[in-house]
Amino acid sequence: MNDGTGEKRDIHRRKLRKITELSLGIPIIAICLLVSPLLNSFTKSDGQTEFAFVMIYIFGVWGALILMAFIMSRLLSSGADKR
Amino acid sequence: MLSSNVIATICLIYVGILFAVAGLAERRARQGKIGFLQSPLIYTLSISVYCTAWTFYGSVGSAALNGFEFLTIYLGPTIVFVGWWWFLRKLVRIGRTQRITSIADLISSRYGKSNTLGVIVTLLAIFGSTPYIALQLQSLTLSFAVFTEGSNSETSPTITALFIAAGLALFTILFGTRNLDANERHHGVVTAIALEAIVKLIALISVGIFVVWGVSGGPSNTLVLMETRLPLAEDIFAPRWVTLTFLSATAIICLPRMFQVIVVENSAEKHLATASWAFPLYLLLMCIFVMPIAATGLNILPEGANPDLFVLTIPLAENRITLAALAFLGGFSSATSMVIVAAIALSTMASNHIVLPLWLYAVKKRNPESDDVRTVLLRSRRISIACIIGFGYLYFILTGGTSALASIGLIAFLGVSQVLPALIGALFWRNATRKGAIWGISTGFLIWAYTSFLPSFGGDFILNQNILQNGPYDISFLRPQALFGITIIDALTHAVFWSIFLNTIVFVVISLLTTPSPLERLQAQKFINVYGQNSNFRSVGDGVTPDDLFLLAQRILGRNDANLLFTQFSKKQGRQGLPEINIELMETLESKFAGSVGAATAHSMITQAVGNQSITVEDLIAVADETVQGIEYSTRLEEQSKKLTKSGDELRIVNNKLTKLSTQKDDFLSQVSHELRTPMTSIRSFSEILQSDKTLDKKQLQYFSTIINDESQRLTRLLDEILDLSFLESGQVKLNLSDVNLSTVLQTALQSTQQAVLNANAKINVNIDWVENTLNTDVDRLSQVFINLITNAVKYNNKEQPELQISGKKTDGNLNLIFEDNGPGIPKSEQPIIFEKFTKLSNATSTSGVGLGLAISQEIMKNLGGALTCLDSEDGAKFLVTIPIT
Repeated sequence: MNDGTGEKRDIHRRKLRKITELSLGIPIIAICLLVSPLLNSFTKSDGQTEFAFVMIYIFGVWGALILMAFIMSRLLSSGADKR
Repeated sequence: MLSSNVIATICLIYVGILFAVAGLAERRARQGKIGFLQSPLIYTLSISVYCTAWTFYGSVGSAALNGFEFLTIYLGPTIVFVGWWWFLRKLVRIGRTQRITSIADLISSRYGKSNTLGVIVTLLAIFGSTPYIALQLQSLTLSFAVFTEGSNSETSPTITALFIAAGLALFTILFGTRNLDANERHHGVVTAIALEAIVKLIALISVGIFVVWGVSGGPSNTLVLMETRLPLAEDIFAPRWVTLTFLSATAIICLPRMFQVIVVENSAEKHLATASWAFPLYLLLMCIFVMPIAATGLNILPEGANPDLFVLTIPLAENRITLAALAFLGGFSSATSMVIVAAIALSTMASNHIVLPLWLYAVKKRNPESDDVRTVLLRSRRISIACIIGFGYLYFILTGGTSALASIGLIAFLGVSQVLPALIGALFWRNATRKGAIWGISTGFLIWAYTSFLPSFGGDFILNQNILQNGPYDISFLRPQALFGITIIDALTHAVFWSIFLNTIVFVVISLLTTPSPLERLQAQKFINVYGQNSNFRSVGDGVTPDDLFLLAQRILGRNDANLLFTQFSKKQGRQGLPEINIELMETLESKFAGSVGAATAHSMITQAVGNQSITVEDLIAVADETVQGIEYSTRLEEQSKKLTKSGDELRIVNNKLTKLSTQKDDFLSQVSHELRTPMTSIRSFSEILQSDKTLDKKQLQYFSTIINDESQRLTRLLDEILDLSFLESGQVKLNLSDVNLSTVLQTALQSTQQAVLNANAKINVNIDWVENTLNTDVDRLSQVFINLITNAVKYNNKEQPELQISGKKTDGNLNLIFEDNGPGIPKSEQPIIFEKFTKLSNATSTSGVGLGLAISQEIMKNLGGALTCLDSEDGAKFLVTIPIT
């Protein structure tokens, strides 16, 4: 019995650790996508920028980050509750 | 067109609503109905105080001038918030557990509760925020001017700004200084700001929707408009993009007002989890219509129209009066909320780190009991608020209307960002020291002033045009905007790089070169290990009385709160009247004080009251890092193993003793059995003869029965002696003590042995002068010893005429009798064992004894408090009997 619950707790702890590590991933993704030369990939050959693409890209990434943060905040607070 | 009177009326009504909301929230909070007031929604909305008038008006202007660049101001905070688990959470936890009241308090508290640092950060914050407040006043007057332009009721911008500033100061003083404990939170202010956040969001989105669908004819048309109208840089990702994102990310942490709403006003950590996605969402919504508005404004408004005011001027140009009024309220909300929160945050810092320490210093010399710290604090906070808003107003008047204000927002960001290295060090680096922080921040501050702040005046203030162009004394190496001869095209990037870089370098190097004080290490431990927070230790001083502390608490917390707190403690301790001073009480007091006056002042007050600046051993143990804890642990282990070894040794000794005793017992038993066997064997064999042989004559019968009788007597005697010995050994024997003459005892003994002496033809000489001495002893027992000695002397003597010499000496407290015979003596090798049970000497001539006599005699002497020992002698045996004289 004891071993069973201990193992469960261990699995839970590992899962929680994974979640917190994942949560570090979000700001890293944010930096890699929003503060990086990737932004310049929309520059056309004549030196002009594809306006619509840049707009969709930035706001799209922004929205995705918000969504990830939303999911992560749920995971983190539920994980923390169980702990 | 709306007249200025209508606008003024709208403003007044709106402000009235804000006052009502704030007042209602305060009342509900006082009644304890704070459920809604502490919701994550209110928290998130209050964080949007980040979006000032600079956002509301300025970002449209920035988009019109620089395209995408304005987005960086919102992407930085987004990155910080989505990564909340790794930085903001720790910051908020520290703020809550250490009852931090401001960013200056946090830095000062972490670096050994140093007030110097508190003052530096406070000054930095005031320097950085004053232009920012001026910026808000400017945007407010500009937006007012839009409505009054051309009409005859046009008022001077200075008058408008004065009214606005006065109104803001009044609101802030009313709701910002209602309660002293910053940790009790300003529910009224926060709720009003949340309302303002909703107003500004709705206003901007309404204008945006109107612009896209009402003016430009749908999203696709708007997109075309944006592509043609907005300026596009060739490469979006450039040093300036990185710089601005970094600056805004830093600002969301370091700006005093942001610290106030994120950390100080936070009531539960889980609100941060909600804000982690909800605040970036708010920012996204604030930004989504900025570019359409900018593009449309450029399209429909005449050339030269101020793009900063497009949000207002587009609805006005389209004759949408209500929308324009809503937009105006949005801008008004953005500006006022910023000024209010900034003023609260800065006044807390100024009163806790500058005014109060000065007052305490001044008052200590006069009469420390004279005034109420509380009144001083409230008064100083109110005056600080007025002063800070006044500075902003003054700055606005001095630089009024110049374009320099537009860029001052970013310059202000960079100013407060100088706290960042020390702040990160505070949270994560154990060896960061006070000196490192002071020098780092000061270096950053100076470089910021030299490369960014002063040049922003365009050569009119301190640094003139020539210095800007050629450097001081024409040293081009020190040109403010190209330090060390390195040209970085963008002046802001240049300033950010050098100030933050040198700040960090100085902070790290000085920290490594200096050693943190014990208090710094204690605080570092508390901050860095905030998730594993446990109670800290402090010695309780002897000098302080509960009355002193009560008086002090009354002065700072107010009569009611102090009473409540002390009664609680008394109850907890089960005492009448004032509670006893213990560590818990002092810690609670210090943290309560810290909520009012900041950690540094609270600490110095408590230590002053207690009169004990030293740190206890427990403190030091708490300070000790893992290594020291490890050492402590292993020392404890070592101690324990030593203890174990010691008790193991003891056990071994006891075990040896027990084994020896057990062997002795076995020996004794086998000896006893052996001694019993001999007489038993003869009794059995002779009684068998008597039984079986019927032909025995009377004489033989007599002979055999005599042997049986003798043997059984011997057996009885043996058993008696064994019994006697065991009684003596266990100390259970009962002595019949009485006062007798030594001569009487000797006489008794001699009489008892008379027959044996005569039989052996022996001669006994008694040579004692003091035989008449009285002894308190057991006559029978003592004579038993003498009899035994005399019998032995006679029995084992192989001489023709055995002789026994009994002589005596008196030493202090003892009588020493010596029994000396002329027999074969006792070989030296056998001397140690003659007192053992059943011992018979190897050269013994007689076999009648069982070998218990001497053992019994020695036990008797021990019981009588004396001794019986065997002495060395040339010939014959020599015994010494020591008898105590009582």
